[in-house]
Amino acid sequence: MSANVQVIPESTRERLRELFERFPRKPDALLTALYIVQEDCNNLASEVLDELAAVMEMPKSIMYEVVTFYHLYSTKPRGRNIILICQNLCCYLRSSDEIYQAVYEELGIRPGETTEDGRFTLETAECLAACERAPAMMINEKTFGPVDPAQVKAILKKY
Amino acid sequence: MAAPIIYRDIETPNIRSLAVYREKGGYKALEKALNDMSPAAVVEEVKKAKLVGRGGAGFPTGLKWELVSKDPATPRYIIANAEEGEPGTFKDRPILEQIPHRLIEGMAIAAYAVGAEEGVIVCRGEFMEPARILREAVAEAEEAGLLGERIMGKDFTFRVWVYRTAGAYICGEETSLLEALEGKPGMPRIRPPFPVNSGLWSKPTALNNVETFSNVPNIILEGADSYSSLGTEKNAGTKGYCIAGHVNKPGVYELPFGITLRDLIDNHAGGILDGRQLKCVFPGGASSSCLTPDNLDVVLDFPSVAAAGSMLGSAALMVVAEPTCMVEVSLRLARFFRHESCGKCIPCREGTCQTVRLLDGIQRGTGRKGDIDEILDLASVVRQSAFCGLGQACINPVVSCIKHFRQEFEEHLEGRAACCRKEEG
Ligand SMILES: Cc1cc2nc3c(=O)[nH]c(=O)nc-3n(C[C@H](O)[C@H](O)[C@H](O)COP(=O)(O)O)c2cc1C
Ligand code: SF4
Repeated sequence: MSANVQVIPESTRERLRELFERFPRKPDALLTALYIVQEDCNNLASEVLDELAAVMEMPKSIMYEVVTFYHLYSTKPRGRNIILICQNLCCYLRSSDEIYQAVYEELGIRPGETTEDGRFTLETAECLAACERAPAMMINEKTFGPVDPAQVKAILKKY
Repeated sequence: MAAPIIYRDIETPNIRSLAVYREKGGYKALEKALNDMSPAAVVEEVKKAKLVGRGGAGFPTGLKWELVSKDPATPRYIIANAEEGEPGTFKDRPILEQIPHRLIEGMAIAAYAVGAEEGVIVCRGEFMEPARILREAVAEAEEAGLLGERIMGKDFTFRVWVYRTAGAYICGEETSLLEALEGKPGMPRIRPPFPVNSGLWSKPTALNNVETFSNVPNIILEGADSYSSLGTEKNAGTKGYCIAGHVNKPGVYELPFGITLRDLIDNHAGGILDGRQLKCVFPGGASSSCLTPDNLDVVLDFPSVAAAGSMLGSAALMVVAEPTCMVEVSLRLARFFRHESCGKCIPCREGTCQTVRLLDGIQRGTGRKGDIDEILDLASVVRQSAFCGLGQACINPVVSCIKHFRQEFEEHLEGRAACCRKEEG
């Protein structure tokens, strides 16, 4: 890649500048900065972090540590929609395994995988604080539950 | 029974908006505190109300605020812990989504009490929607002069912002939360110093759970005596009990401390799902030891649940009915902790992995004869040597399952358990 092609677009850099106005020390803003960049660049791949390291004026290694520590950041390409299905106890007791299976039957993906058309990525989730609606599932920002395996197809259709 | 304190008026349409919240008496407590009470008097009232933290540890809130207010360092901070990560817990979300101004009002009163000018609501990463609702509520409150400079014309400034961590259960632990808020991996800090003296950016910080703050307007408005007339001697007021799993009506029920487990299951949660037989209950989320049907009459306050050999924690009651396989239940919890161990200390990082490995072998019937006892040994080492509360508590639930249902573990180990055969191969 030639040095002057930016993977983090100017519009994202502008969002970051706005963010840094609120944080006197840039590194304090790292978690939020990563969200912004992930939102605009799809994921936090190595070349993205290289550029962000320059913007944040901090070592890439530290950023990488943070990215890999938290579940909601990804260094791999992600689908346009992220599905999270709770696998913790309350949802298990209400048959969440069947929701995983229903998603598999509909989309052919297991946790950690992305559909070939890039429409969906499926991830496991721990308790989503929605146990009264178990089994619970999130797509992007929205929480669904109790999810009936038979409804999965219709829910996915909306995305 | 209508929710008396924390979730009062939550059914009122659009209580999320400032206008409706104020119609229902919202921000009257803040007004009272600013007009009629000194900061020290607010602390005193909260102490007198015997309010204890609702985040799990049950620490006295008034005492915490006093410690912050007496630390000479400034600035001081108010932080609301909206991580809500303990499996089985879903009591803070309704406050954040439906009645966010009660939390903001509680935080403002706390800020006045301890002399803080800045507050942060720290949401778990998955709470994108609650975070958006909170930001709207904060903006509304700023617009109305209830946050910002010279609130209600008084010499009192308080601003609030909303932050989101990025998906790690450990961030609910207060010092991990602070690390995450400072842009770092959420690994716990050594305590002491405690956040009351050295919290956000090493400044004195009053960090409380969302539900804890949401009790405060009532205490100030109605007085400590009225508040502590509810509940038990040790634990005043009400609790948002979360009950889920195998019950007919899972949900959050706000009830005075002192209700029994039986009463909660039978008279509020609609009884055990489809009339099945109760097997056990984890009363305080994934980190608590299970209680068996013999314990149905335990009173659900902090000391009584502890006396029964478990802990109330965040009052996340996970109910398990027959015929559920307890080896599978143990594995689910063990895998959760393996996934969420932050990796800072070896006992927990290794202990959680080994627990899963041993349980997995037991479930498949490929384990060795001594494996069940090995889990118990491992648990005692990890409990004593882990750095933070996660590691210290994380094998307890598995140990309790072995203690009460050892036969099931043995049957699996010997390849005699019908329930998990399908997992073979
Ligand atoms: C592993 C672990 C996870 C925790 N998770 C939460 C949580 O999700 N929410 C919370 O309010 N407190 C949580 N806590 C407790 C906090 O450390 C802290 O005690 C609490 O937020 C203080 O507020 P309180 O005094 O109002 O309860 C957790 C503690 C540990 C050890
Ligand atoms: S006990 Fe576990 S979660 Fe706590 S510091 Fe050690 S590794 Fe991290």
